[in-house]
Amino acid sequence: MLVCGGEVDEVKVKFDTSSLGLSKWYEYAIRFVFGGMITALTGIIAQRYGPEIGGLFMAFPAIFPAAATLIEKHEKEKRERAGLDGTMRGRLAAGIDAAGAAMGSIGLMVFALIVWQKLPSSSLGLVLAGATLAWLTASVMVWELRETLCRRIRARLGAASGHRFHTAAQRGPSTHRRLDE
Amino acid sequence: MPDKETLERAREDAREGKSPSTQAGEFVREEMDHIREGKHGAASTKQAIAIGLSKARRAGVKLPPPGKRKVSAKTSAQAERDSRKGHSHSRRKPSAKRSRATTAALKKEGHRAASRSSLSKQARSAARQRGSAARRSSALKAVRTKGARGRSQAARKAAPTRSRARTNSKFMLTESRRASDGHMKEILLRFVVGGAVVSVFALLGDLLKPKSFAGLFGAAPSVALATLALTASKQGKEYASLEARSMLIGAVALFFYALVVSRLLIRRKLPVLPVTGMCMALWFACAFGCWYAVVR
Repeated sequence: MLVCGGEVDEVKVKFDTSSLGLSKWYEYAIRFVFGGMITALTGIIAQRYGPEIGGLFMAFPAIFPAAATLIEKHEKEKRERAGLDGTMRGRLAAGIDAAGAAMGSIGLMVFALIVWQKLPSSSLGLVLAGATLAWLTASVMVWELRETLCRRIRARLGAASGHRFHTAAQRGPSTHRRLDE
Repeated sequence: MPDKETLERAREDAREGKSPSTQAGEFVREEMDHIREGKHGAASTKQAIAIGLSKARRAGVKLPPPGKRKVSAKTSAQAERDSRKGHSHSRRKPSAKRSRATTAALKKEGHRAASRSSLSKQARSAARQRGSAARRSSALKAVRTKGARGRSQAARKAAPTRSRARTNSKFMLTESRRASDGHMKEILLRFVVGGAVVSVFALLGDLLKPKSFAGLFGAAPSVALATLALTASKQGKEYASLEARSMLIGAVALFFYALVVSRLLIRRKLPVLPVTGMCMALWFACAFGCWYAVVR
C-alpha cells in the first residue's frame, strides 16, 4: 500500500455489460421522458424568448438528478447484496459521476464553439458529426490529463512521505478506482 | 395586367388627391386578393408587394424609385424601367407567353404570403427598418392629410386594437392557441427525437467503466444534437448557430454545476437528489448571469 507504484494506478476504460442487468425498464423510460421534455422545452423557450435564451438550455443538466439517483441506487444495491450499508458508497459513486460530467462539460464547450463558428458556412451533418467527435476527443483528453496528474501527485506524495500519501490515497482518486473495481 | 377594378380604384385615389403610395396600395391589395382567392401564390410577402408596386408603376402611378442606397442596383433599375413603361404611350400588348410563364411560376408558390401573420411580420420588420424618425414623420403627415373625419375614423379603429393589446385578453389567447396547435406536432417531434438521443448517450454511459469516465457522458451533447438538427433544418443555420453561442455559456454553467455537485457528494456525502436538485439554482444563476454579462 505504501509503495503503490505507477502500474497499479493505470486505469483502463472498458465496456461492461453487467450494469445493464441492474437497470429496470422504467429507469430507461425516465431518462427518455426527461430527455424528451428538456428538448421540447428548449424548443418552446427558443420560440418564445429567442434563440439566445433557448440555446442556454441545450446545456441544462435536466437528466442529471435522475441519472445520479440511479447510479446511487445501483451502487447501494450492489453493496447491500453483500450485506453492507451502501448509502455513503452510493453518494460517492454519484459524486464521481458528477466529476466526470464536469470534465465532459469542457468538451461540451468545444462542441458549442465549433457549432457556433462553423455551422453558418458548412453543412449541418458535417458540423454536428465533427463537433460530436470534438466533444468526445476533448472530454477524453481532459479525463486522461486528470488521471495522469492525479497519478503523478500520488506518486510524488508517496515518495515524499508515507503518511501523507496514505491520506491522499484514501481521499483522492484512488478511492474512485477502488470503487470501480 | 391589373384588374379593371384596381385601375379604377387607383384613379379614384388620384382624383381625391391621395398620395402615389396610396394609389400603389390598390395594386398591392389586388395581389393579396389574388393570393387569397387562390389565383396564384407568392414566394414571400415581400415578393407579392414588389409585384404590386411594379404593376402600379407600369400603370402610370407616379411612385418615386426607391432610394439608391436602400436597394440593390437591380431593383432600382427595374423600378425605373417600370416607371418608363408606365409613362410611355406604346400600345404594345404584354407578351402572352411571358405572362403565362410568370403566372405558372407563381402558381407553384404557396399562399402563406398573404396570411394575416405574414403581413404583420412584413409590416413590423419594414417599420423597424425605417426607424422611429421616419415613422414619426409619416404619422405627422397622416394627421395633416387625413382630415377631421379620417382622424376620427383612425382613432376609432386604433382604440379597440390598443385595448386588446393592453388587456392581452381573448384575442391574444386565440392567436397563441392557434399558434400552439401548429407547433404541437413539432414539439412532439422534439420530444421523441430528444428522448431517443438522450437515451442512447445514457446507455453508452451505463456501459462504460470506470465511473468518472462514464460521467463524461453525463455532459454529452444529446439535447444539443437533437435541438440543433431540428432547428437548423427548420429555422436555418444562422438561428441554430446563435443557439450554439448561448449553449457555450450554458456549458460553462454546467461545468460549475457538476463541479459543485461532485464536491458536495464526494467530500460532504450529502444526499444525492436534494444536492442535484438544489444546485439547479446555481446553474440558472450562472447561466443567466454570464448571459447577461456577455450579451449586454
